[in-house]
Amino acid sequence: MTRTDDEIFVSFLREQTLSTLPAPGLDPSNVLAASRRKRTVIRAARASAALVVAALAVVGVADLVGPRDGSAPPVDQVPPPSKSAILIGLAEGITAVNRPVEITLTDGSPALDLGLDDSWPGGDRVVLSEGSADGTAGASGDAGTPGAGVGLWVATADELLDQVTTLSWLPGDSAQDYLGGAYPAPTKVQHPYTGQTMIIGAVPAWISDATVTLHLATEVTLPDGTTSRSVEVPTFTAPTEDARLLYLISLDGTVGVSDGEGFAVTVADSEGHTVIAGCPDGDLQACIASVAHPVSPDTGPTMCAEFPPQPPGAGYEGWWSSSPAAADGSILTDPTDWPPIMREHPQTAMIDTRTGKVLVTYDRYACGPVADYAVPAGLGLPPDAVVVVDATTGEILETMSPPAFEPQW
Amino acid sequence: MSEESIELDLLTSRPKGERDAEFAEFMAESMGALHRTALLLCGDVDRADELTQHALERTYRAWPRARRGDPLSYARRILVNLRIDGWRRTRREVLTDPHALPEREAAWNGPDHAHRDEVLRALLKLPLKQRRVVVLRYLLDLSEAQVAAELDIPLGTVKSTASRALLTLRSTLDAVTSRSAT
Repeated sequence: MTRTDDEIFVSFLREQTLSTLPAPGLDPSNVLAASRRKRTVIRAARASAALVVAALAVVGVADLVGPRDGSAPPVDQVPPPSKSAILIGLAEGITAVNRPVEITLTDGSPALDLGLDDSWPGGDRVVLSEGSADGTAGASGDAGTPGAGVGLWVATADELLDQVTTLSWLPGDSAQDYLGGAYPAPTKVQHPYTGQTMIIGAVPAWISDATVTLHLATEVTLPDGTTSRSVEVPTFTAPTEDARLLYLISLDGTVGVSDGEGFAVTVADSEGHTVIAGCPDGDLQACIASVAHPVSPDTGPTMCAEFPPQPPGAGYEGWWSSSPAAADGSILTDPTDWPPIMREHPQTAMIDTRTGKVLVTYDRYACGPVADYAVPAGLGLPPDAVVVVDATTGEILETMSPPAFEPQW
Repeated sequence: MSEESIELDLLTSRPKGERDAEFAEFMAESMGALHRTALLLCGDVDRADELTQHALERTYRAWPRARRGDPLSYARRILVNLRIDGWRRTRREVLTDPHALPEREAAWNGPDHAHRDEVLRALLKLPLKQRRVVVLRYLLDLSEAQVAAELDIPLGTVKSTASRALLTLRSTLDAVTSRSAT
């Protein structure tokens, strides 16, 4: 068997590099000491907030879980929840942020460490940073009123890396601000490959002593072994001037929501008045059904898995332009096997918000570019970024902000 | 000791000596490989030291999780996702004085490494994501599936990126390969 040109060339590369590289200038004992020291510092910081993520995911939820189908466990069998745990386990595969820790990154940025560590690929922690990326008004769309907001980022101890999503709201809003419309639905983001999902939302400012509840389409197993379709969600204070109460729920790829099942979030006041985020008519089941993305392979137009060669999207590639592949490298042609985000957003456009220019579009129905796509008038986009938006709904799906993104490849 | 502390120890800790011994053994086996990876990615020996140390420190912090699978793969995944081309933000703390390592200096700066330097320069000209794929796929000989997993990108992207990168490298290094052949 003869070697191909590529094999010969690769062999040349290896020969020229690997045999002549110097040894590391690191002293293993010093590295170990530094590792131990940094671990101690981090553990101490977290312990000061009494954060025991894994342990409290098990023991800390009992009396935070609200009305549900299953019966409550005997009180003497479940230790009381820690009020200071960063994360609380709500059910199997579902955790929520309870008491995030204020940190300052090495680059000087203040942030709230949400305790999710490296559960979202790309960094070793997930943080909230003040400032809405879109800088637009609050959810009511009142352009005359300044909005507040936060950015959800993947970060390291040193710096913010990639923005996952943003959340903005209208400070000091009242029920009257949403007459004729629903209070804004929480933002759901899903990692295209792991299926990990986060749901982040703001509690209405006019509801004091709020009880936030996540409602699901199917039952989940609670820490006490019972099952339920609803779990109460803790809230925390946003790192913004108006100190808005927020909630953030993290769901594993195994939870139904991550596979397109519906969900709803309700916020109730102490007198039982309830707002269903995103749904104006008060019908909880209809609300849950309305956000579901059932996979119906037998209906609807065919979607293509592999795009023919297109002009490079200014150097950015991702799930929107990629071919879903199995572990053996074969292309997955059945959309039911795709990462949910691929089939939920088959038509996308990449926009450079600095210039407003559409860099490239992808349409899995047409297996090519989106015909005659133009950026919709009034679409709120973050400044100084390249974004991927759903070409149909205008939803911002990915935000790549300098300096976190790479120039080209 | 509080209940929380006890549970923390039960759930996340191993005896300190055992953890450190395991990690020291892992370092002895893997530091060289990680450093080579870092050096191929960044082209600078000091920066490679720094990247290797960062990767090792973070692997140590996550050791219970890292040791459950392939710790080298875990550490390498951290390493390739570090800001390879970023400005150095923090001064490294524990490096041995490079001048105290004459063999290393000689290995790096010796007169017989013109081709190596040209190859490294050609690698550095590649965009970072292409460089990551080339280093993992061709220089470290990982499978395409492993590269896809470690870089968290689809397999198809690994293939297309590797192909583009190899084409670019070949074009850049044409003169060098011709000289080598003669």
